Amino acid sequence: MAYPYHDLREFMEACDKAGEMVTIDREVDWNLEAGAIARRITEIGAPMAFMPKVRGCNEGFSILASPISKGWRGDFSRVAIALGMDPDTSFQKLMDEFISRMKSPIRPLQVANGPCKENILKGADINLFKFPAPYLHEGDGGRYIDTFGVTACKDPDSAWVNWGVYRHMIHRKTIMGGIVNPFQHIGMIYYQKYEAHNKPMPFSIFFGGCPSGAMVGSMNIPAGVSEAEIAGGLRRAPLHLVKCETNDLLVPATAEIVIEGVVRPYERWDEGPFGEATGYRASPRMPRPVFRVECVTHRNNPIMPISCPGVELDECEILFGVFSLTAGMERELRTSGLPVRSVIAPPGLKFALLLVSVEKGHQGIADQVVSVIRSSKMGVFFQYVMVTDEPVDVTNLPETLHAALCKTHPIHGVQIMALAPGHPLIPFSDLHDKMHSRGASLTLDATTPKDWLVKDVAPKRVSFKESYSQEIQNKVNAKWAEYGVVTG
Amino acid sequence: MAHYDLREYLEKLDKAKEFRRHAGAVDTKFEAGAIIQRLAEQGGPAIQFTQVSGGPDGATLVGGTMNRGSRQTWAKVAHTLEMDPLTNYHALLEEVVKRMDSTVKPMQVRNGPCKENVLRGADINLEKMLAPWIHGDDGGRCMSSWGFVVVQEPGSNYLVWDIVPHLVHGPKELAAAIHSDSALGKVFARYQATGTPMPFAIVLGGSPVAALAAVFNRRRSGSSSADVAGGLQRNPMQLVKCEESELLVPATAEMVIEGVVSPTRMASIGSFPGSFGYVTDRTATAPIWEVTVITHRNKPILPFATWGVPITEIHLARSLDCDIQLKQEFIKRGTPATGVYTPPWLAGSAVAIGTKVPFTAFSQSIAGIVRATEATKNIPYVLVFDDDIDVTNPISMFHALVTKCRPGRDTWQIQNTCGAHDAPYLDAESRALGKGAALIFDCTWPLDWDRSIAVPPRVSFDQCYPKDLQEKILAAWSTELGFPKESERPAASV
Repeated sequence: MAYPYHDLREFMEACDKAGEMVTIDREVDWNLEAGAIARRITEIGAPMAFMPKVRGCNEGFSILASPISKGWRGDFSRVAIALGMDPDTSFQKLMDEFISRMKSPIRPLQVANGPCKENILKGADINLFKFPAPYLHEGDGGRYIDTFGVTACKDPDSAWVNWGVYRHMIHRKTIMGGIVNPFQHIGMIYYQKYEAHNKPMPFSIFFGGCPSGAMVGSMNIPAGVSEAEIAGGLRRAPLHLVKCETNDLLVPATAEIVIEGVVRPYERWDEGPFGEATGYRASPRMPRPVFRVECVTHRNNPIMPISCPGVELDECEILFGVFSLTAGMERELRTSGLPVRSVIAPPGLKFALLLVSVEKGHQGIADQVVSVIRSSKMGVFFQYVMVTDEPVDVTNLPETLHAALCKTHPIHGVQIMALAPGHPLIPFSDLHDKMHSRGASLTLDATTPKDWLVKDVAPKRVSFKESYSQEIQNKVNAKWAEYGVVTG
Repeated sequence: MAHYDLREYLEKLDKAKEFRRHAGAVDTKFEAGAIIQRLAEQGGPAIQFTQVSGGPDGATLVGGTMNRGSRQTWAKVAHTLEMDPLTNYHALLEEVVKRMDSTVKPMQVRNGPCKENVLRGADINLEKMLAPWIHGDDGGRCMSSWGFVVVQEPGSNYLVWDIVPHLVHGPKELAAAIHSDSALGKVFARYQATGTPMPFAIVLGGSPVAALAAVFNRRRSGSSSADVAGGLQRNPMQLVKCEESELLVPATAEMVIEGVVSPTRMASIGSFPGSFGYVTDRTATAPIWEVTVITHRNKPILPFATWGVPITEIHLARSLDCDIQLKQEFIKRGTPATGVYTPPWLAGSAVAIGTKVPFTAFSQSIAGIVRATEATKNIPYVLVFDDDIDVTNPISMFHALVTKCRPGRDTWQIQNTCGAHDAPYLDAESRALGKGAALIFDCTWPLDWDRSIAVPPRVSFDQCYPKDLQEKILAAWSTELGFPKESERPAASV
């Protein structure tokens, strides 16, 4: 398959070839069934599901469930495919590739037309309920048409166009609602640049196109940087963008569906609740901004990608948590000159824990690590930090937790900040703390005290890699098949 | 029916594809240990090494008899208990607790296969016997790493079983540390007090439940370890008298080493790992065990274990012991606990309990029970969860911890608890004094939160879809919906 992907369909073909997609021929109900399937894919790691027949939708409209969630061959196999790499690529290699590609943004090209204009609906022709907008989890406030679309909005004072992945629920045939957090870029732009001046904010939401668009939209990209350029870097080729019908925003020409409209100032309708990527339905139904739809364009037989967030590795955790936040924190820690071996927000723990592995023998290193994390804007996401100096594979959670918990003194090795900056989605925060972004944090310092090393009394891990000479290890590894052992 | 002996058990494992016999030459110095340790880390079958050097004639070595199974962590423990290897852990624990409550007195028999050969005096040379040097850092070759010790309380006929690794210290001497807080240590202290040598027997092989019973060694309502073993296998243990003492040992043991522990003589033994998977004391001294008689079966099969990082035999056995005792406590007290797990992969550094929460700060009551229970009293981390978390699933458990436990409000640190003598988190002095510390993570939702607004419901397949829809999807998963079966998943490439 040629890379970069021209559109979502080419990505689907590549996944299909790698055994990472199934097609469900029978009709699937938008009411909980599509969501339950997407959820299970995410929880157990399974191929994504193409659902060409969705009950109650326009003929030919389909769903692509869980495109980037926990994969079949490995946790990140579809991330690898999305980057045009071997599905079995290791996490560390993927991470390195992400970081290197994102360092070289490529500006998009504007084109005159594209398949996303094959159908253009305006005014009374628009009925969002006829699009694949599943009711994803029992308890959600409504049908969510947008869970893996990219919302574009523009800073009126500069050339910055922000792309982000946010949730949108259908209120009425042409009206949606969404959560607009003031600490996110869309919130900064809407509240400060439009609402403050009593102006409506134009928006466009696109679904599909090269998956790099939704990937960068899910990531932590600095303000002022246009995600379209980073997406170009990620796919190592410019995106082709086309102008919207009712505003000047640009969207990928090969998008499956594009929803255009405005968010009026001070208009709020009750929206939510929704099962979120923290693994909980955390924020209650509340008055939130309203997205009024003026135009919808779509390809023939459009495919709607959906994410069904919740526990385990969903799209948000993989892209925002495991890759973006981890890369960001690793950069901060290395820039600070600390002897860091590896950093990971362990998959499945919803970027509430950051695990940092450091070299042995540096007094006070855990506190330095935590100070760097807390001094960073992204640090607010990690309520728990664990610092270990055992040479374990940090992508192996049980191994790492064993190495670390056994070595952390429950009093001297634990630092508790009973009040710390938080974000509104922290599940353990009460409603007051959520409202005021109050949090708390805890550090587990599993590093070896330097005086134990100096006196040579430090506990020594007894493992295959650490307790046997390289010669013995090589011998055993070479003879492994001969022992007749099948493991796993 | 109970397993008659180790051999019958290995046959059973073989049928279940949890056993390999390796005929090629294997070096007992490090190679055998390295293989079994690697298997413990990733899961795999038991392996018998038939071409190994060391006596007696025809002796072979078997490792991994009860460590992590090929696909299921608890498979070999389930086989040991003659249960379905796929038994879910909660069901396994329930069954074991039941069997612990119906102990079976042993039967004394006149003779047994363990007496097929009797070595005394000049025939005994431990330095020529089959004993693997397990890890690169160990003080020496290890005669018994998964055998158990039998001793008798002075002035009674109560027999204590305990597991402690023995290193070879000379042609007729072994050395093994005896910790004062262990069952063995309490007995030994009484011999030491009167300056009397303590008769012992070390049992290698025999019915595999015996080793489990030896780990579950605390005196419970008058039952001895042999009674417990009988209960676990639902059949009386057949015991035979030792050659030189009144001690009784399993008649089908592969080897029995008899002798006395000197009340005064000590040897420096170098290092051997503790149960946490770390070496903590590299200059340990230990009592000397003087060997006078060895009896063994023809071509004995000697079991060994590695005591490295999880999941080895000792981790599974200790975890099960902790869970049994806690479950018994919860039943006795009417505690509304719904799940208990001392994750073997954490090697006893944490215990997780799922519970209904009847009142605020209930996790403190739970933690109190944990610290008041013999098996769990020195576990440093106590994690308390609502009853919707499967505490045997590491991701669910730690996800709940980092999202539900608010540092400060929901964490309690406790100074000066009991600490294990081999705990890596403690400094040498605290370890010697048994002075530990604990931290409770309360991962339950506060009771004073409004259930309808403030408590976030968990979003998972089994918690946010109607039961009938779940069943419909599960039934159609690999048929109508076309998803591949779990068994078709390609092996992870390394």
